[in-house]
Amino acid sequence: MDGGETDEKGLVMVTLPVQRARRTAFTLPPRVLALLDISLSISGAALSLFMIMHLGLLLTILFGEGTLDELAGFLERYYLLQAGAPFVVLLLIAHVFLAARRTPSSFQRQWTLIQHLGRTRHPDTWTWAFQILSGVALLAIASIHLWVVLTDLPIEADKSGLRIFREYLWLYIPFVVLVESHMTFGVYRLAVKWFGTARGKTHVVLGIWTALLLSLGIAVLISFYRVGSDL
Amino acid sequence: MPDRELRFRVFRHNPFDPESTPRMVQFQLTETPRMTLFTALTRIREELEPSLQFDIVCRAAVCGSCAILVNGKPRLACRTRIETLPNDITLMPLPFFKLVADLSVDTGQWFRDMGTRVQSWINAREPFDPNAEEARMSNETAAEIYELDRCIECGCCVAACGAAQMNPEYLGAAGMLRIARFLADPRDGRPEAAVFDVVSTEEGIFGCIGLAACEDYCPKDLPLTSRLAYLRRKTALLALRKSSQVEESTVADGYA
Ligand code: FES
Repeated sequence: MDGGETDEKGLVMVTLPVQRARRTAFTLPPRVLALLDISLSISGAALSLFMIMHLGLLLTILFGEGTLDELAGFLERYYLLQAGAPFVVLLLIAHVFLAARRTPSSFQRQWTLIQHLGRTRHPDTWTWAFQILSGVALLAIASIHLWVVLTDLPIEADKSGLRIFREYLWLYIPFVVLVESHMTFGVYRLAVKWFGTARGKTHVVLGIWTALLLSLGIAVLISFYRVGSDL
Repeated sequence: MPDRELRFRVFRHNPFDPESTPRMVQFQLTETPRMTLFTALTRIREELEPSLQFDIVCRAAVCGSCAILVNGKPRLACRTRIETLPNDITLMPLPFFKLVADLSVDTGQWFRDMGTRVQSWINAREPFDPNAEEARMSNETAAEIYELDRCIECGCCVAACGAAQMNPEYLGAAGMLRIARFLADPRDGRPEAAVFDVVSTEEGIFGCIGLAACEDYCPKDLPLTSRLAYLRRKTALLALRKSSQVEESTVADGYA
């Protein structure tokens, strides 16, 4: 045997060479792959935080239009909104690209995934497929929402109310539902991927959390609708 | 509830026979007390269809050869009790692996290749001295190694994994667990860069998208998601370090 030494008992000692991983020409360097994976999770977490903050600001509508207008006026006067919006848009675009990397792109892989989903019917795999579909839908809805709101500043309760009452209710109901569920499944997957969280417990906590966010979101929507219909 | 009439729909195909086409074949059996899928398959072969191929060796959830898809879910035939199943039972070979014939797939080849890729052996720190006293190891370390060594290489984790179906080069939860097993072992002194190179790839930990089906269908209840998460965290931290530091480290200390 090559490179083997024999000890006094006549046993051959072989030291196996340490091999480096096989690498093909088109794989990304390990460092980049790691950073892309971290960035996907961080951008998702950051967007979730933003959404919670956004909901927090909207909750002021429950205390009357005046409160919301005052808050919006404050954010705009000190350019907090104008400074924050581009940042959020960039974050959103980054999240879309990072997530798209993990989405099966060829028809063959998509078909493989569909067959697997139908065959094994594993719940957590289904929620992942849901993330892809809801992500695509959210990208479209969020783009419309950002365009409509940001091209029509300042933000005022009356204007938003009318918008929801007259035109966009059909868009905002799925928007609220999809945002909250996409967020829940995303945070859940983040916890499993990075911390291996006990999944049974996470289900309960996230279930309650989502129910809370959903009901607050719907309450905000109803308030806006009322404001619009009263005008 | 014995006496049930069971209807089995079984996948049949022999890829080595040019005449053969993939098809589903029906078999009927009457349930008997404490029947397992192993008993049922053996009876089908003995009483109804002697040419049916499937793998059963230990019938005690030890050898890992009997994994098949039972109504779409990867299970060990030898430890699946019929009373937990409905009257209609569909049996398919595990996806992802090479089909031998009918319900039999070649997991051995894949696991051997995986073992080579992750270097499934102790990379000794020093040349072995047969006369020296064995190095001591704490109870916790020994228990951890033993826990991670319980994998029976049945392939259920890979067959259940959506990421693996879409990426045939993926090392799977079994591969990641194997790496975690050697990282837990103080006798192993593999260089950090070697671990990092295997793990920090699309075939390694970054091929994992956190579906957790591996853990849900592991017949040995191995702690897969927690060890995968551990590898992901450590690898990400190493990635943030300077590459020269990773290159120079002779042992996988960053993973400790
Ligand atoms: S026959 Fe050995 S694990 Fe089932």
